[in-house]
Amino acid sequence: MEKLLSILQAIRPDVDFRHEKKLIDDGILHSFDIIAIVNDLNDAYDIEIDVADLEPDNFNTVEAIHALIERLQNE
Amino acid sequence: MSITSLTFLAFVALAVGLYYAAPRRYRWVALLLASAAYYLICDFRLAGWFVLTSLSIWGCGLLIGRQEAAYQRRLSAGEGLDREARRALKKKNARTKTAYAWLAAAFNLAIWFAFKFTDLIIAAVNRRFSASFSLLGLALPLGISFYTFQAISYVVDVSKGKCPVQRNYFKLALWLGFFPQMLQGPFCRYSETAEQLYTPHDLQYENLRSGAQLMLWGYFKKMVIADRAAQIVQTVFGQPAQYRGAALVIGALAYAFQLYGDFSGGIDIMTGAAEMLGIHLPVNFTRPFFSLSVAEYWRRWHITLGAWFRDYVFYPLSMSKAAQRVGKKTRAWFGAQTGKLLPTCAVTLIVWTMNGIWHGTGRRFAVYGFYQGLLMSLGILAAPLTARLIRRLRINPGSFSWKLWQGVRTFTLMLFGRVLYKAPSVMEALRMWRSMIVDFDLRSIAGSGLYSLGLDAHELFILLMALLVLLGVSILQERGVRIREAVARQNLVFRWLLYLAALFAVILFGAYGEGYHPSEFVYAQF
Repeated sequence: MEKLLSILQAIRPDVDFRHEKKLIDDGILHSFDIIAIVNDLNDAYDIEIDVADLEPDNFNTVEAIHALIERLQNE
Repeated sequence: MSITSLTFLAFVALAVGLYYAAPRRYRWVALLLASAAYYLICDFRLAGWFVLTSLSIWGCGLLIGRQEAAYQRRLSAGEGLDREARRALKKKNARTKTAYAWLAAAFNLAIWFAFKFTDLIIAAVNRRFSASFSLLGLALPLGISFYTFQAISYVVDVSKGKCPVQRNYFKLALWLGFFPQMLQGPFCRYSETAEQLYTPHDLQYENLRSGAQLMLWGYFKKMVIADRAAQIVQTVFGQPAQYRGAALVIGALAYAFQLYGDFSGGIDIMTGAAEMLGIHLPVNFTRPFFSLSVAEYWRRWHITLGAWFRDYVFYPLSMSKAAQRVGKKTRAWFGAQTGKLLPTCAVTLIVWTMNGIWHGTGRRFAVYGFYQGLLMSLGILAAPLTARLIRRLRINPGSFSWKLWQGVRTFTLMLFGRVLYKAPSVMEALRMWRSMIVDFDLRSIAGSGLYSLGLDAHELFILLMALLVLLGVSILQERGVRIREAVARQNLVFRWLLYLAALFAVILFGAYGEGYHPSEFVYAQF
C-alpha cells in the first residue's frame, strides 16, 4: 500500500489519497491523472490495466486501486 | 418544431398528459410514441436513417449477447481447462465482441461521415482537379451527430460488459431517440437513462414543478440572452472586415454568451421537459465561464460530449500499445518526466481535432479543435514549470487574485477560440485576432458606435441586465445553492411573484417580434 501511495502522491501531491473516498466521483482525479496513474502502475506492478477497468469503482479510493492491482496480478 | 414555439409547449403538455394517463406498464410505450411523433413532425423524410441506426445497434447487441452466452457455456462445460486455456478463451471472446462493436460503430460512422462530408470532399476534388461534379446538397437527418455517437456508446458498452443487452428493439429505439435528448443532447449512456425510461413514474408535483422551473430558466437564457446577443453576432461576424479592435471583442463576447445561452438554455428546456416525466438526464453544463483552466472549461462545457470522447477515444488511444511504444521512445529522448507526458499530449491533440470536426464541416472546425488540444497539451507540459514559478514568486494559489487571473486568462483564451469557430475562415479569424490585440481602440465603439453593432441602447441594457441575472444565479449555484429548491421553499406569494416575474421577463424581453428572427438552436444544426 505504501508503494502505491508514493506512486499516486508523485502524480498528484496535492491530493490526500489516504482519506479521499471519491477520487473520481468528486472530480478530484482527471483523465490526464488517470492515464499517468495507469502507466506508472503498469510499469511498477508489471500488470496491464485495460480500458474496461477504468471504472469509477476501481479508482475512487486507494484501497480500490490496490484491489484492482491484486486482481490483475492474480489473473 | 422549434422548441421556443407554443406548438412545442403544447407537445410537451400532451406528452406529459399521455404518459401519466397511460397504464403503468405501458408508460414507456407512451414515451416511444411521443418520441416517434416528435421525430416525424420535425423530420419526416429522413426518419428512416434513425431507424437504420437503431436496428444496427440492436442487431449488434444481440450478436454480442449470443457470443457472451456461448463463451459462458464453453467455460462451464470445460471445467477441467487450465489457466492458459481459460485465458485464451477469454481473449477470444473479448476479441469477437469487440469486432462486432467495431462493425456497428464503423457502419454508423460511415453514414454520419457520408452525410456530413460528401459535399466537402466533392468540392475539394473539384478544386484540386478542376472537375465539375455536382454537390449532393444532402440534408442532415435530425440529431444524427448526437444519436450516432450515442449508438456507438451502446455497442461499445455492451461489448465491454458495462451495460446489458437490450433485446426489445422498441425499448432500445426509445433510449436512442427519447425526444428531449434527440435534438441537441445531452449524450446519454445506456446505463444512465435506459432504466429510467422503462420504469413507470407516478405523477409527482415536485417533478412537474422542478421541470417547469428549469424550462422557464432555459427559455430565459435562450430568448432573453442568446437570441438578443445573436443580433450583435450577426452584425459583427456577418461582415467582420468592417470592424476592428473593440468592436470585434464585443462581437466575440456576444458570441460567447449567445452560444452559452443558446446551448445550455436549450438543454435546460429539454432536461426540464424530461424531469416533468420523472426522467433525469445527465448534467451538460456547470457554469463553464468560472473555469480556471482550459481543461476545466471543457469539463464544465458540453460535459457529456467531452466524456464521450474521453471514454471512447482518449482512454483507448492513450492506453494503446502504440501509445506505450511511443512513450518508451519519448522517455528515452526527452527524459522521464516530459517523455511520459508527450504521448498523452499527442493523443489530446488528436482527440480535440476530432472533437472540432464533430462540430462542423470545414477546415476551421478542425483548426478550432486543434487549438483547444494545443492549449491543453501546453497546460500539461507547462504544469511543472508553473508550479516552480508559483513557489519562486511566493504566489498563494488559493488567493482570490491568483484565481481571478486564472479565470480571466481562461476566458480570454476561450474567447479567441470562439472567434476561430465563428469566423468565416481561418485566415479571417487570424485577422480578427490580430485586430483584437493590436488595434484595440475603445474610440471605435464610443458614442453611437456601440449601438451600431445590432442592438440599440435599450436592447443593450436589457442584455446587460439579463447577463447580470445569469451571473448572480451562477454565483449562487457555484456556492452550492440549489436555486429551484430554494425558490420552492419560499412562501406562496413570493414564490409566485418570482415565477411570474421570470415568465413576464421571457414574454416581454424575449427576443422576438418585429425585427427579430428567432434563431435556430446552434447545436441542433450539428
